[in-house]
Amino acid sequence: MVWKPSFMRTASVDRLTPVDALPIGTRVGDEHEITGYLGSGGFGYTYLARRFDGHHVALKECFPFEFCRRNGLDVGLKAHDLADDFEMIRDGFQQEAAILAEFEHENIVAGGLLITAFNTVYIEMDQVHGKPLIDHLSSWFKRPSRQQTKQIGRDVLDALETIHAKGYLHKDISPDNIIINQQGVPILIDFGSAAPFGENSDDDPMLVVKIGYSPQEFYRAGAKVGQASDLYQLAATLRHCITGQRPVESVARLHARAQGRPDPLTALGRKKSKHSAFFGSIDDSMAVLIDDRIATAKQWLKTLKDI
Amino acid sequence: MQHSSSRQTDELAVSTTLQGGEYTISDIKGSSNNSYNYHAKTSDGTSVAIKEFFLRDMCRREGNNIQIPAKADAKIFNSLVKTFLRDATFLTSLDSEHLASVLDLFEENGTAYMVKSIPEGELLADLIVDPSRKFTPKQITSIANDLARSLVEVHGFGMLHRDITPSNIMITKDGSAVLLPDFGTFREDRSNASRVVSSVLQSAQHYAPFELTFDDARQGDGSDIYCVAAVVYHLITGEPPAASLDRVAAVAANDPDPYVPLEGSHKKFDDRFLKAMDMSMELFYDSRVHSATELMFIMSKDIDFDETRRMKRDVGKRSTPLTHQGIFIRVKNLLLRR
Repeated sequence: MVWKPSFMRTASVDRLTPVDALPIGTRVGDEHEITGYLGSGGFGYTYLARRFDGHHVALKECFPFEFCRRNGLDVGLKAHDLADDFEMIRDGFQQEAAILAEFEHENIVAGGLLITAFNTVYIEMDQVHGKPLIDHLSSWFKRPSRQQTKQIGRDVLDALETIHAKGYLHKDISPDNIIINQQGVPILIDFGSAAPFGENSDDDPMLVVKIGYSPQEFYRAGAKVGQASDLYQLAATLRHCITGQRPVESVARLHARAQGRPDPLTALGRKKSKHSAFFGSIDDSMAVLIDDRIATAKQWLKTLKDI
Repeated sequence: MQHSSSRQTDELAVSTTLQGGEYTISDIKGSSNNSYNYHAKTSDGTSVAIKEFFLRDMCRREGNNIQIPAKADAKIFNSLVKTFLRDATFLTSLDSEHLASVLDLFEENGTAYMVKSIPEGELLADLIVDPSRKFTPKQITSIANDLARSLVEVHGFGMLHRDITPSNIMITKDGSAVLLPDFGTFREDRSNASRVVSSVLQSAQHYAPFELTFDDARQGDGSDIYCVAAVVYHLITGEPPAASLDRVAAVAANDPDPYVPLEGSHKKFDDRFLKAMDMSMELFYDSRVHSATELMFIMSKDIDFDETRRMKRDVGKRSTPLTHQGIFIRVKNLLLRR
């Protein structure tokens, strides 16, 4: 099941009521027919579809609730002055598809075909059978063990190494964007925030942040970002697996540091345990300032293999 | 599929009537994150502005009614409608030349509507980017005073505006500043995991102090004061001040604060006035000017600046804010004298 938390205000479960979703049986483009409904997030609905070669795939529709309404089957605007906002998000979808198509990795969802229909775009992806990591974190007996958490860390780092080697940052690693499939393997599913990094990276028109997971530099236009930004998000995700709680927001930590107050996020590695090396590496990747963190996925992966 | 198949957006159509025919929509103006805005004619032909409370990420339009697909959202929406009505009720009781007035308030179509007079003038946001429109030091000082005075009123009601930016300030023909009552009450719910900071919000970050954007716990009158000073800063220097988050980040990294103080570098302005702006834009809440009356007091030419600093220090020392009351009375007298 593909799942995304809702966009801005609330994450109510019954938002999943597909009021404005396309009806089953709708043909999208030349090759796909909607056969079911998988879920919804702030940027739109995800459907199950049959391709005319018989394969079942997931189709993610660009339908940001905040800006869009359905006019017949077409996507229309909620207000007449929202065309630019919608276009910006639709462009982002096209970029997402292009980036996704570049990867072939065990821990990255396969897909990336872009379909244009109904005044919007759709991204075709493999259907991943499993549950998002966030669903495993709701109670302590469902939470992954320390060993499993370490394995999730290794697998996602391996994927990040590939992503960074191609010159991209993922920018949205969080427990709702990692699906644990039926074999227990974590799969990264959402590349909606992914962007090239290096030169010219700071003209991103939209800053998307996820409270608790995004490092402070994601909140600031033009701030220096890098591989260590993705590592912060992974560290926050692993920390959530260990503590069962979403970490304190990075900007609140930044504020405390500026005022000379103690860090509101307590270090995991302080207590002596057989996991303290692993915990210590999470702390190191969650340093408030980007230059204080473990620098690359490769470096962290190496530490984790030694532990 | 829709009840009204001709409708292409969720905005009410032109010539829709409200309040049993009292208002007829004449023009669709635009949307914000919590409203659709219209111009309308009253039954006696007066033009008014109508703000319809509409949260785009929760609400849909079905006929003219607002529909909320998610049950959990419906609860949140209803409580936000109540907040909207409560704040607007406060505004109807205010009657100030520096605050746009609210004429009527009613519930219909499953949401609330606020009727305002159409303020005559130009938005500061439009003027500030227009290179042919230069503000003189005298005009800027008077805008600062107008804004401070409207804050005295708003804060006097125990409210915070929380969204003071050039887009919320109207400059009338005679050059005075009117604060528009688009209060930032309906900020996003912080319980949600994800949010988007659009480019529009990014530019707003230049006017808002850290605590308004990120840290809800420690807001107060000083938060609005920071915004006012930041707008005035923009008018003086032609550029908005460094974003508060960038300032916090620099200080956290032991780098110098990127804020460039005004005091001493703008000869056409009274240094006392510039220093008052600098003090209003102190990065951390506790060191900032903490009330609108204090701001008016320290901006004023009639008062010895160092004396106010001493008084402020004394306020901190005493357990009862006697001196503070003293300041208040003196400022009131000043206001009366004007």
